[in-house]
Amino acid sequence: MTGLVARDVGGAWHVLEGTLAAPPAPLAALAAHHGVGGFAKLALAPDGTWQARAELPLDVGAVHAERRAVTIAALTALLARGVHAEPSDGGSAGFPPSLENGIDAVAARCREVAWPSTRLDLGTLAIDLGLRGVRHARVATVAATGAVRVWVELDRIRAPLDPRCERALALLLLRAAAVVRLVRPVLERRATHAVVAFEVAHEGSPPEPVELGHAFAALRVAAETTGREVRVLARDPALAAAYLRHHDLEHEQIVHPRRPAGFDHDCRRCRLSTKGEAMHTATATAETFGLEIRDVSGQKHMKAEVPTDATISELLEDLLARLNLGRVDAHGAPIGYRVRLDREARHLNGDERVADALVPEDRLTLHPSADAGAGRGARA
Amino acid sequence: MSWRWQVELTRPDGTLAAVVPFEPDWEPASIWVRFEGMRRGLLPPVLSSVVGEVEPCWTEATAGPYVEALRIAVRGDGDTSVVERIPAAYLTRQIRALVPRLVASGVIAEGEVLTPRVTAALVSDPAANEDGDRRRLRVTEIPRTLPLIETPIGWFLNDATPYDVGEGDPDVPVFVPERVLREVEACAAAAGGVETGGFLLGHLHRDPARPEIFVEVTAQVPAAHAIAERLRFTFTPDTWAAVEDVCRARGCDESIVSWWHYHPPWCASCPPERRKTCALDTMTFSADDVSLHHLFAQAHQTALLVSAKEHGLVHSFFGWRAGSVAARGYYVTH
Repeated sequence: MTGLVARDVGGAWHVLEGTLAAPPAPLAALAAHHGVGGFAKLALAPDGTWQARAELPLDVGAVHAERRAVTIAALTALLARGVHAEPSDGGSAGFPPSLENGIDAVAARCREVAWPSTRLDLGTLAIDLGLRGVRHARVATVAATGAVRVWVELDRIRAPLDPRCERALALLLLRAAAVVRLVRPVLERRATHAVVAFEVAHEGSPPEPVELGHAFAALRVAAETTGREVRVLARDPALAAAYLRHHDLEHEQIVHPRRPAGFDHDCRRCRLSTKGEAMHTATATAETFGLEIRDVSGQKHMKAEVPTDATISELLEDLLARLNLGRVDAHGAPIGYRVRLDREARHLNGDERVADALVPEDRLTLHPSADAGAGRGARA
Repeated sequence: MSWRWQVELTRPDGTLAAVVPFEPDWEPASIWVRFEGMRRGLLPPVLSSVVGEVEPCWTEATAGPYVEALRIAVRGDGDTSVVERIPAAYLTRQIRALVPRLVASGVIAEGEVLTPRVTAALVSDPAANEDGDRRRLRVTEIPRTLPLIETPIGWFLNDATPYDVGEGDPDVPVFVPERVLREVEACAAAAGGVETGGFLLGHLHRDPARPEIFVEVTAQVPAAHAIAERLRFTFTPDTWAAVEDVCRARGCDESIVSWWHYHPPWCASCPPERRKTCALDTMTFSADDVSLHHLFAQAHQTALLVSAKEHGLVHSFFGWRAGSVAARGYYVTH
């Protein structure tokens, strides 16, 4: 058990955890879940440490020892080899085929712990988790291994996913894996879409009824905790970028795990930070281009043709005048503004040049710094 | 037709201290007039900040030049137009904003008590807007349809308790769930002795049968990255970024319909007799609050003020009326 620490929590759960020697890229960590044994999983703990961990229920009887042995082997292997690189396809080929064999027995065990199931097809059961949005868990026996897999789909997203969305999703799911017991997140990439799911896989002996009960309860919590966030992060690159930024993760580490110090042709920020790149110069050659400008109230929504040689500060000065936005507060003190670039979900610096920071049709929002309160004021 | 606007500043003895030309900002009044047209179903629900046609209404029984009120006309499609009479008090805040410059230039003395009177004169040949020509930006407004959900207002009224709503209340109805007010109060209680604030998200509804537009508050979002002090609460650029992210993350097609802030109990340690004359204890919506509300430029956007008084927390709503910020009523839904 080198590197693994075991402890019991509240007399109900047995926790195994070890710290990874090197922090993995989130997508690589997610991809590493495919084919991993037992209840082993990778997780990003709230303190920022990357863990290989597992939580095993203690109230499952004799099968606990078997599950623990399989899980320890899987965790030890994970810690020994680490998570080095993202696979070329970035994920798995899809859910394994299921077996009809034994599914009726599993359905009976589900009923035993008050999780009645519906037969979806020959080899798959659906269990209503009681969540809004008609989200069901599914149970199937995996043909290749005989493992009983229990999973809940959080979302199906049309491929290809924006890289920022993909990485933000991975980060969210791996953070959830650290706080929700038993479940591990998976991202299944298929030809036309990707499936985001949480799963619990029971290898060896079929799951005891109480184990199924724990799995459904954990999947319910995981789906409830992350379902809405997954749907948004999967579809909104700007918000995904904001999420990545919010968690204070380094650009090189999160956005380009395979090129820690290099250049990524797919990344506009890399292109803009490298002199002479095609897009960089292309934007600089145009004298003006169009932008969408909004104020914070949503009242003012303008199209502006802006000179590309202007700095953001110069642009802001002109925009404030043209949009007739408040420049001074009640006491004549100036109101400061910052320009937010929606595409990158960040405030631009005043000395950045339009040609360097923006592309045509970018959307900018003007964010003021303004005071409320009794302050220096008299009554209105 | 164009008008030249001036303000005469008169001393208490009747002597004229200064005549100051100024360019009034007609935008808040025009936005409000356009919204009134939308409420009545006369104008399409399309947001625009284009200024309406403004004419002075002279003081009673005169032909000018003193202005008692303003008549603002906003045009819709074709020949449709909406006309509203706006009291001249609309210009008070703008006139007040001229004072620091006039004091600095020695036109008036600091602390001098002056009465303003607005005058208007017809200009036959208005000067071209040279300033606009000099600017390097070309800006055009993108028309944006106001997202309205068709709902009978009775559905909300049946389950609502009115507060400060009078008979024939002119303001756009605002419905706030009791749960949201409790959340705001919890945030206020957690703030301790400093101010705090946030945003109210929600939807706009239209009852075509009346016709009427009304506001449904659905959630409150505490202001993140704000600077809270005892007498001041600053919404920083990061605060706006955060609430925009939250709004999108919720995925409910909500928008910011209001903002709120909390005035803590400044006077708790003062004796009751001193509080009677203390400005802070009677403080309602401050000049800073009014100034900040001008950033919430849509005519339906309101502000909720939560004040700590001896008998508990007191809620008051403020919003746009005739282009100015005024105390207003609201409904609490259960």
